[in-house]
Amino acid sequence: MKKTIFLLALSFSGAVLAGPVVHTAGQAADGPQATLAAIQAHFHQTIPAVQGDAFVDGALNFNQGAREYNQFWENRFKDDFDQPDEYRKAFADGKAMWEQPFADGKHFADCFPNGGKGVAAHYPKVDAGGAVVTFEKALNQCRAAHHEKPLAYGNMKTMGALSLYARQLSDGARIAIEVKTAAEQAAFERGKMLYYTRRGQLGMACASCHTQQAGRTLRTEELSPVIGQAAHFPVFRPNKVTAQLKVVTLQKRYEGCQKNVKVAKPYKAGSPQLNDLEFFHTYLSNGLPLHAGAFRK
Amino acid sequence: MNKALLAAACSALLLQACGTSPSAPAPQAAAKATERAAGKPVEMDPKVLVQNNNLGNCLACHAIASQPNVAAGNIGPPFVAMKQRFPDKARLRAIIYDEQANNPDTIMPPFGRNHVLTAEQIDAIADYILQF
Repeated sequence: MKKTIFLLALSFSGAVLAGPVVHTAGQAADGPQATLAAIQAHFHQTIPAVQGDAFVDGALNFNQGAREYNQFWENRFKDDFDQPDEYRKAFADGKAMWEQPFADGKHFADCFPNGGKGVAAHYPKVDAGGAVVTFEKALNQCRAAHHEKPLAYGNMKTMGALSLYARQLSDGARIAIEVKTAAEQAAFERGKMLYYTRRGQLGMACASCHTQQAGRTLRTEELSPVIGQAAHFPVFRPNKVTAQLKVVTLQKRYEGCQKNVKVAKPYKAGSPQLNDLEFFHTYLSNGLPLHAGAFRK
Repeated sequence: MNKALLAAACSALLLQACGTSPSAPAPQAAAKATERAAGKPVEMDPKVLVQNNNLGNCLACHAIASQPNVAAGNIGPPFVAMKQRFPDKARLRAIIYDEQANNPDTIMPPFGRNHVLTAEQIDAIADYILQF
């Protein structure tokens, strides 16, 4: 028990991150509003054409070919005749899980206000103990409250599909993350620290690509700005060889980012560190409309 | 005229070489580790070193100005007038080894300090890109 408390304290302190910090827009700003304002000012200078809701389109803003390729896939998503099987199956699986009653006869919809509609815009939250609760964690807490086993955060066939369906119930709702209480501010600062800290063998911070260099081209891909990223997950990504689609939640994507910069022991989906990051990250997209199930290369 | 033709032929050859060099999908990391364990020689072909995303991957951020058809990023300055910009090869090697020592907020990975590349590989890359 003592050990658990110690580990919790360590993971919340931010002290575990020993790497140097990248001093780019927002890093030195004090508090949430100033951090967001500094990043917005930086993007206004570096990628002035991207404004308002267009931030949700991320890297598509910088490459017409990528935008058309995206449109091609998203048109297929809406086409009953040509809908990709993986897309249909993921939503069907998620819907089945959402509607399947628990052993006590209750449903996921009973755990959330308004039957779960529009609620994803208010996640992540910070609980009484100071821990960040993502929407996926709230889904697992709902299961636990009704005596069901939690779903693995990294399993895209179960948690990925459920998150996809449950988040789609909030499509169009605008992200509204509050950072007011001391606990919320502490969680924001922990996530912010992770965002600006260099990690991995390549020694890059999230901020290196998605703030400092956003809009530039990395070999063949444009780097998306941090603002807007949290609004369109889970995404469907194609296998590079077979074009088979797979569901990727935001935290699964964080795992991919860590692999790209060659982090030896990456934080896993559902870890307190990535929950903190998601809290910080989602705050930066405040006011942007949610859209679950977007296509992304 | 002849010179231009020669340059075109050279870049065509280079492109071909680039096309056949491994473009490093994820499983390659494991393959590399096995290679190292088996005592296979360290990759020293500079064209592979600048392309492979488990090695130098220079082209992810730097374009070769004279080879506009080779897919490359625009995060770092392009490889152009390299001999004029780097009369001292040691300066170029130092950047590849650890540019953060000089510019603490650079995005450029410290390839030498973090053991992504060996000193010999860095030397081979420096020699290779100095020709552009």
